[in-house]
Amino acid sequence: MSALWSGLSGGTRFLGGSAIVLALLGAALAASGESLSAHLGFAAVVKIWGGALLVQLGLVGLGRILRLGGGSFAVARVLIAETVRRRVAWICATLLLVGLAAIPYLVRSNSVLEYRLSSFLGYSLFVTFFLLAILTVFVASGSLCEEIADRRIHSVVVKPIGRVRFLFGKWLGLVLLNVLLLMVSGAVTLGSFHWELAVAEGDEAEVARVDHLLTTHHSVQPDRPEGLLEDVIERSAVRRSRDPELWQAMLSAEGGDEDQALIHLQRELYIESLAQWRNVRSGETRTYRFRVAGQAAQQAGSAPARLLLAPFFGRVHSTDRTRLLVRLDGVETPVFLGGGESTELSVPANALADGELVVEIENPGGTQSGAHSANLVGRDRLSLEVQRGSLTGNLARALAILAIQLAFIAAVGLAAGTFLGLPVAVLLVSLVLFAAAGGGFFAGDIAQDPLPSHLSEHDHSPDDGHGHDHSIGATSGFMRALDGVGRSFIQIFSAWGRYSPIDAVSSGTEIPPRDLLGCLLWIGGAWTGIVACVGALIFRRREIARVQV
Amino acid sequence: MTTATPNSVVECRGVRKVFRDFWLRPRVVAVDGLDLTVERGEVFGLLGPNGSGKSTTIKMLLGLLFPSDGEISVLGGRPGTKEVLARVGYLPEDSYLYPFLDGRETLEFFARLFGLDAAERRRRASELLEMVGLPDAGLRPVQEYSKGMQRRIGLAQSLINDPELLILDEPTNGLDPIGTRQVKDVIHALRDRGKTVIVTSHLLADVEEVSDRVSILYGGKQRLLGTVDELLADTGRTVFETDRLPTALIEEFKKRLAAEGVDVHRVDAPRQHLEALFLEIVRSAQSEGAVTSGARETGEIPAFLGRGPSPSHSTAPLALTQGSPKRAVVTKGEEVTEDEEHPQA
Ligand SMILES: Nc1ncnc2c1ncn2[C@@H]1O[C@H](COP(=O)(O)OP(=O)(O)OP(=O)(O)O)[C@@H](O)[C@H]1O
Ligand SMILES: [Mg+2]
Repeated sequence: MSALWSGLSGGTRFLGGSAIVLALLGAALAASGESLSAHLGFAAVVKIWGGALLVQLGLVGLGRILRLGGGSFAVARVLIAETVRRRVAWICATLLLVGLAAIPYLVRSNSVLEYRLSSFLGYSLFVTFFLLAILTVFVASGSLCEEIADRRIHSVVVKPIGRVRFLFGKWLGLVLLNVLLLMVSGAVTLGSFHWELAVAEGDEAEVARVDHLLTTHHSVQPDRPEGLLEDVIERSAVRRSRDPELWQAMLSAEGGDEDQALIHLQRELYIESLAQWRNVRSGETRTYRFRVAGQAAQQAGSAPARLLLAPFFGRVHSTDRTRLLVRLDGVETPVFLGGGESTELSVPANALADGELVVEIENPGGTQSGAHSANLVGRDRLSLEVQRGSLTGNLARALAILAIQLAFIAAVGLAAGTFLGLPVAVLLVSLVLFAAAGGGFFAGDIAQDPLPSHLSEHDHSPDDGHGHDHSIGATSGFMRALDGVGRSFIQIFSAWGRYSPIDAVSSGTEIPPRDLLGCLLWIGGAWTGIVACVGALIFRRREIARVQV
Repeated sequence: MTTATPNSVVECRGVRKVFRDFWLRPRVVAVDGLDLTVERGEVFGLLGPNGSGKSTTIKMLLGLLFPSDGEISVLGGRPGTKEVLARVGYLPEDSYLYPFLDGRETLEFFARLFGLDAAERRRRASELLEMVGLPDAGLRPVQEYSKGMQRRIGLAQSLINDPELLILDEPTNGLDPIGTRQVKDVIHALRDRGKTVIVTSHLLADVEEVSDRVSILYGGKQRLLGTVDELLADTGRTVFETDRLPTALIEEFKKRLAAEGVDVHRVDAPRQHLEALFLEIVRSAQSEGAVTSGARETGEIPAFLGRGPSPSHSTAPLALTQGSPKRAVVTKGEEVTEDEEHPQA
């Protein structure tokens, strides 16, 4: 029964052929006295060959696993056999591997090893996701649509497998194929990364800087000053009586609701105070307290950390440098920074022993062009980067998140295929993909700097009692409902963007397991579940022998 | 649900199927008030011109379409449920197979959907491939098959679960005379083992040969229903076949018969039929072992078919060797029957 998986023999021939090419190339290069490992072309060919070998082995393995088990596994196996034998899987794998192998050429122009490797990681994951998303969109909707359109499905759904299990089998096959290709991509990416690193070994300083790409870090924001909220509430009462114009504006914005207007005012004041606290004016000193919580604190005690500083000085020329004095752990370090520049100060491991670090930043002021205030508002202007895990672990988590996102796209494609023809289904799934990925842009805005719950805009439901002006109740109730729908849409769509593994890996930011779990629950559970239920419901109820749209 | 008689396998009561367009406006009435009962153990022929609703009816029996009105029960259950489908075999009007799977994989895949274990799957696939004469071609992808070869795989897959009810929609469509013969043999053999078969075909001679009862549809309505023996009226004529006679002798006979008041309508010196010639050529090629990538000698009907419970019929091993189209030689246990028109007559 070895011929059962016969579609793979093409792959075996390809691998055999390319192994010969590889050997010849290596021999030629070695003969010409060139260092093999530093040769870009040779590296590219080795990567492609190695990746193809992994794909081949993986497909054989999948075929074997899926030979066991029930009807869904049989359907999954046929789906994989289809993608292999119609060359879809191989074209996709080839493009993927060629894409991965080509990236070093693209980023080569960047002379700084650290940035080169960082963009290498980013591009690798991007290419992987992009190609697999296309594969998923087309195979998911195409496989089912085609089968319904050419009536092949008539022979299948009259077997006692159950339509839902049939659908699940298709989804499973696609998910397994994606997982395999993601794993291969991860292995090739990691291999290439270390290859580049090994080749660059000569330059000690550069390699040392790359060290923190090999590890991941967790970004800690300074604690907000204590009593800020109480202070704001106190000041809001004063402000209300002192500034009647502002108060009137607040009142009309909230439709005459005094409680809401007060909260609105407090919210404005709070945001204003936060901005002031993060702004070190000329001649001032500010103290920031970083707290590393829980388990991270224990790790932080031993792991090195860095203080990231990227102040905004307004529109000054980069040659016009401002001197800041940073005091941490009893040591004062002067830093000179121009516009758009950033710096990192390493924090000794024992400084974080009790999970806390206090940093003082002084802005003595005075440069040639006058005094500038150092603005530190925003997540990446001032943060403590605590070293956490390894690149490998982070990459694995990133790939897992991508796999979950692709599994969702597969579910959408299959659900669309249950009632739409191929072109319409592909359009619809692409739309969902773009909307979900695009939703990530909103997510970034939403996620930043959450306000205390007391001040958050959703804390008070419209019907929680007194103080409401009911004269505009009907309209405002409707508007509020509409507003709520809009917000939940953004909330739902932003789930995708909340987990952006590609940026995390390329910037070395640790993806916490909590994020992976969240992604699994939200996208893998809720989103995929809802779409799958809709698809299953339609597919169970539809007349298979009627071709639609 | 339906008041089915205990012995009926399919019951349709007032079944109507209206195809609607996108805006749900009725467009075609494909089946119109059909009442149908198929009894256990019979071969039921569904006839009618193109577009008369045969395939639509069959698809409703399988749950591929839902009736707009009326009730259907298949094997005592609702059409399309797992319990019912597990006992049904279906050959669609056209062979819809996975083009990239080979013949053997196709059969094993379908067997797996029935939950058969690996060894059983392999065994049944081999036996069926042997039966339809494609033992080697089983390793080539189905998309490379000729139309009739695909049809043969289609027939094989419809038998993989040893179905109680076999539904064949134009099974002989695209088949050569040998394949056609085999379809008829399979139908006979299954009926012998207590199975029920519903078959549609435009080759009326074939339907006549295999069916116990036929129904003729027109415009989705049933125009006629009855057993073949009842329906086909006696033509009131006599035909006798002899060795070639000299003209003088024929004239003498004519005179003789005229004297008796008998009209002689036709005197013929028939040629050999093309079908007989065809079979002779094919058989001699097969006995020489000539090379072909197509279908080869059809094999025996697998023993697994009909092993299941079939109370009223014996499950004695039944070997079927190829005869001429009109002379199937059926060996049943020890006794050998030779039969001209109806192997089971
Ligand atoms: N999916 C469908 N949508 C709309 N009309 C359909 C559909 N399927 C069948 N019909 C119509 O229903 C009628 C009956 O078709 P059906 O396929 O049952 O005919 P048939 O008796 O099997 O014909 P044939 O001998 O050609 O196979 C035809 O008029 C056909 O156009
Ligand atoms: Mg038909």
